[in-house]
Amino acid sequence: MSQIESSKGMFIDTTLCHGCKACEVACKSWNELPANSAPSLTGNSYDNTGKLDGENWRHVKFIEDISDDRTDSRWLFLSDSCKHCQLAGCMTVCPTNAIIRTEFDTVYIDHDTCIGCKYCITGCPFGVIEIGHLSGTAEKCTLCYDRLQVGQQPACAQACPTDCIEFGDVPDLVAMAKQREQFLQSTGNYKAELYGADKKILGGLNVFYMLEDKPEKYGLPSDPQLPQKSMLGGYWSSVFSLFAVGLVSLLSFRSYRERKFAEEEETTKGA
Amino acid sequence: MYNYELTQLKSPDFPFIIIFDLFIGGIAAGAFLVTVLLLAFGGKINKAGLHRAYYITMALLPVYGLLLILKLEHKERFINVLWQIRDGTIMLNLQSPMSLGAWVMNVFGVFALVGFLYALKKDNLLQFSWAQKLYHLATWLHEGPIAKVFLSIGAFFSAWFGVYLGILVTTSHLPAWNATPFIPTLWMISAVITGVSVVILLLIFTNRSSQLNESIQRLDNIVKSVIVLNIAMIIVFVFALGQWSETVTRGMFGVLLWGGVVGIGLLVPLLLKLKPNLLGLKNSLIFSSVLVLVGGFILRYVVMMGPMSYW
Ligand code: SF4
Ligand code: SF4
Repeated sequence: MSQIESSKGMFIDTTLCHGCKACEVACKSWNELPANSAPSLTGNSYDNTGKLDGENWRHVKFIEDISDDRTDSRWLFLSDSCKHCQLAGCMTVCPTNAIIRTEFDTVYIDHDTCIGCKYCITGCPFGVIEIGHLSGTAEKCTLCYDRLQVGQQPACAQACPTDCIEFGDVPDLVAMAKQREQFLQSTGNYKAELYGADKKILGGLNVFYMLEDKPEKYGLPSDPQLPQKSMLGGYWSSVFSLFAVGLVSLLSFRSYRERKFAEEEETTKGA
Repeated sequence: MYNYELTQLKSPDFPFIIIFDLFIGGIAAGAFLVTVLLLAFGGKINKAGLHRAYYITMALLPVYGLLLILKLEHKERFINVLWQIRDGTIMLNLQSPMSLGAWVMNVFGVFALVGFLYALKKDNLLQFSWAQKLYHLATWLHEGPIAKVFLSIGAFFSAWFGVYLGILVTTSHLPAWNATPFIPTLWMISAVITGVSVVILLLIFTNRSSQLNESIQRLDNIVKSVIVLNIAMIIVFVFALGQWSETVTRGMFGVLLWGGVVGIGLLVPLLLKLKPNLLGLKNSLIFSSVLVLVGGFILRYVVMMGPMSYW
């Protein structure tokens, strides 16, 4: 792990996003990611990128939110990417330490070390990582690590025409986001709420969001956890099973022995 | 399926080879675990031929390792799991079951090797003069004053290895895999019956002049009892999955689980073991053991592929 020099991140204000996908294009362009196969229509939305994967490190989610009686409808947009979590599930499960924390406090995949075991895919609670078809290694947003090294902001933040993606030092961004939250709530947007700005979500997300509805509406878990949460239970249940199997095995042996002895006794008596 | 109302989790889409990997690893662990437990704590009963289980573990562990490497996208970099080339240090991430498991496998491998040497000595096979000291050491570790301690440590590592195969799956965000803590349990129990079944088959085919009959029967007794445990555990597992039980019981997966695993892989072998006259003693043993193996393989297929293909 590098010495952390500063904590860089992004504040994504979904109330400002109008779904132009400039960020997606900028990300693809700067990182030289392959084009999506065409035509690639999901068939259930105007969102045809569909999901984050090895070739799409940024994805603008289009949420067509229609009321149950279909009298009301609205669009929600969320420019999604890796959240650069403080407690990063991907990093904790990686068996090669290929996923590292950079000097900018971001989460980065070292492609020379990654063996493509896919374990980090199951470790991320947000479904961010996937194996790149060309590289054969895990792929995700780097927060434009190469640009940060030369003092530039990430390509998506630069391209965003509405300033929905604000880049900067995390403490500054959090302060800005809190003000924005207060403003939105004071203007009647009572459901506006920050997601990941404090430590409640995985110790804090360096890339955090202003949402206009509950997190699930955006496909975000309300209480994501590290994958190790289920590990301890697995060990406990195993201890139980080992005792059970050991006991049953020994009893099975004994029962055989006793039956054998009984048979032998019968034979002796008979003789 | 893409559904905004669901968290957009991803399946790792592990290749099919992982089923063989988990199956073979389970047999290696199960065969070894039962053998060392019986050698250490089985009392003064007839244990003729039991040491041959070590051949199975020794043969299967390298295959397990090879399959593990084959499922990587960058096979040539497998050493990165043990050695951190970037920093020039040993690679061990205690939080990662995969990293820890790789080391557990190595330690287990050492015990398997010692067991293998012991088995060679007992069967008087491949007795190279330059390796005599090693054979003696292996024998001393198995029969000397610290045999119980040595075998207990071996049991611990083989159990850990067997359990890690399940912990690997449980430590994830894929629904069903993390919905219940019982996958390691399920696989450990299955590892015991599949491992012991392979030992039974080996003993049957190397049984000269009926010397091993008693050992085979004793092992068969274990399988009979653990089959019952396995069926109970499968039912508990499916219930514990709650809303995600569908991932292993829907369509073809349900047919495979109830028909393939419980029916063909557990109940039919149990019937054959309880009523050996149906096919004759030897045939019943062979046939039931093979069916147990088939069931163990299908179980791993259903638990791995069901949830992965659901998402
Ligand atoms: S969002 Fe996922 S990939 Fe990104 S740091 Fe967090 S756990 Fe890792
Ligand atoms: S795929 Fe690469 S980054 Fe992901 S866990 Fe495996 S080695 Fe680590």
